[in-house]
Amino acid sequence: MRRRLFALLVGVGDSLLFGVVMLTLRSQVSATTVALVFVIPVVAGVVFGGLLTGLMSTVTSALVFDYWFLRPYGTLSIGTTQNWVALLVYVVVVLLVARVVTALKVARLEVRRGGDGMRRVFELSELLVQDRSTSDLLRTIVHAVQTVFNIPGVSLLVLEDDRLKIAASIGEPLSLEELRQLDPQSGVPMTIRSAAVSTSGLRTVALSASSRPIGILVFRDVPMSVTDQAILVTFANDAALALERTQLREQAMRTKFLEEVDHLRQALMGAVSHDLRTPLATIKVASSTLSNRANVLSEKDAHELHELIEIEADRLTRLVTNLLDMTRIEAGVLEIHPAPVPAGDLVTEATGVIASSLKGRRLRLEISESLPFAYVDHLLITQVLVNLLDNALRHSPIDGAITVRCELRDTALILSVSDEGPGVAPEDREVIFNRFEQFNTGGRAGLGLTIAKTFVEAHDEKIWCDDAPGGGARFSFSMPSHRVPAPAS
Amino acid sequence: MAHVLVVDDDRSLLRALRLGLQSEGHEVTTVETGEQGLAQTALLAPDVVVLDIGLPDIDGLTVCHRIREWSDVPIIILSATGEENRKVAALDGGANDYVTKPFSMAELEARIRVVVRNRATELPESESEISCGPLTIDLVHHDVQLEGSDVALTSKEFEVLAFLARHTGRTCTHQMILNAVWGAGYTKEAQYIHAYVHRLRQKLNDEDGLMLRTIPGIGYSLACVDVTG
Repeated sequence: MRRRLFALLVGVGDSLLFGVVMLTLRSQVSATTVALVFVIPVVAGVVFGGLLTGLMSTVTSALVFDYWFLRPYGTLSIGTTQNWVALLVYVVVVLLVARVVTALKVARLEVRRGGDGMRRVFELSELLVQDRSTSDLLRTIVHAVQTVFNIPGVSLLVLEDDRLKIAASIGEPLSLEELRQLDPQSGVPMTIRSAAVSTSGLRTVALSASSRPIGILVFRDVPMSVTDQAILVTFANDAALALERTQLREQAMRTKFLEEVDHLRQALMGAVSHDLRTPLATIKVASSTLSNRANVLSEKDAHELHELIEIEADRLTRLVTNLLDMTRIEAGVLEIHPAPVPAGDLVTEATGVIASSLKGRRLRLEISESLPFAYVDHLLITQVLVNLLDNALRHSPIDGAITVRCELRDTALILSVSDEGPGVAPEDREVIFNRFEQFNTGGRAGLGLTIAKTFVEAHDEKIWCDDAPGGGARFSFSMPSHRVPAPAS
Repeated sequence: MAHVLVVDDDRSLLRALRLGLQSEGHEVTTVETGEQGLAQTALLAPDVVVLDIGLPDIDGLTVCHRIREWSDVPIIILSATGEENRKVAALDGGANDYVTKPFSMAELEARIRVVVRNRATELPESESEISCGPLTIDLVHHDVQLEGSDVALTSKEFEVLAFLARHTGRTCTHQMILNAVWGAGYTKEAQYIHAYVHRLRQKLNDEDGLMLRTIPGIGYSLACVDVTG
């Protein structure tokens, strides 16, 4: 109202101003020239103030023109026919000009508004083309709708197991009652079209791609221009496509991951099968010989066969325990319980476990008494050592020595097992710990080293393989050391 | 009794096999690597080689191929993998038979007996007639008789049967049969053989496959048993 009054005042004011200025020049210029000059306040009024100012300006300048510039001066009488014509021409021209200028102004405004809309659509679609995770994208969508359309609260619902679930929301949340209304199971009919407004005052915008519903944008209705509605629908379509694309990409990644897991599992199964079957083969050959050929076996041979059965049964038991522990570690169920333990104790315990296999073999121990304690889970690390010893036994000549050495490097204890076997080629030193992965391509599998690696890494320590000083392979791993305070003297 | 060379990298199994085979009366030599296996096969000329498929130095399949370059000593593969394709590859590569770990001494002994016997009685290519249980196969005239009465076979059916008969008791892989009957260009057409074996079984009254035995996923073998009862 106040704006309109101001527009009227400007319309009157600018014409009066021109009238006063032209009055000083009345003796030098003709009435026609003055009429031409009065086009200026009218056009200026239309351009700056709008049609109302223009009209007001037209009327005022017509009166001013008549009163001051048409003889007889100082009256509103028009006088001669010529004056009538002049006034009429002036009014018609000025009205036409006002009309054209107003139309131009409206058109320019429309263009600006359209450009504004375009810019918003552009900004919104920019948000959608970026590489994001599904959850991130969902948040971006609701945030964009909230800020761009200035809506207090926006929620994005997706259909999961025939029920609508809130996938993302921002600002004022939907009430339980409103959610219930939206739920397809509620029985309340609801239109989910492009930007439909339901009876309860909620505006719902469907997100669908490839003719498939992806989700619904929901917010309490606010007044929206037709352009804004169009922008919202365009954005919803873009958002649906972006969501679909992200979901598909995540699905593809998941499938690829599952394939890899499957491949690993198969390799592991193959390796487990190999490692279980090898000791079983010995047990079966030995036991079937014992039961079928007892009459021809010497006592010594029978004893050796019994011994073999025991050794291999122990190996099987260890393997099964190891596999279970490895599975528990990988599932995050098995906890490491580190405690200070002398390296010598670990070695004694490990050699005790495979005493039967070590019988008749040469074992050299190089472990100083003065070393600090290792701070490890002693059951798991004993197992690592057993596996390394087992590996050394199997790969060194029957009369070859096996050396177990422990030394301190900085603050870490390095425990190593060396054999006098053929050694490991440099290119195999990494893969040897994942040997089972190459299982399908042939060659030997062996879970012992893989298990050792898992147990060592569960301590955040390292295991590696290099050449033993006198030839053969050397497997080493690190352990954190633990200084036990010397007893007070 | 035979001289058996055992090639395996598992020392426990070697010890058990040595004692087991000795108790059966065999002479036994054991080695732990493929190279040693090749060397001992050449040096000792064993009657049979028992060869593990996964060896530390050279793959068992390669050892098999290399032995076959100069020797027809029977080879029995020890396979721990349970994987059909590796067994097939070993049989294609010239192995005579295989056992899957774990196996009993009796099982291995039976295989050894068969391959040693087959080698002793293996027919030279020039032999004109093979008898196998109720079957008589005349290789010259392409005649087959079942208990004295003629069986009409097409030429491909005859060739499949004749090939299996020349290797009686031995597992013949699909590849071996395809090579011998259809030629070297055929590698994947195992279904041809299935069709021919099916027809042969009908014509030889062997629907249960007691004579023409299926070794699933690997091939066929001909057993000289009397199925006519």
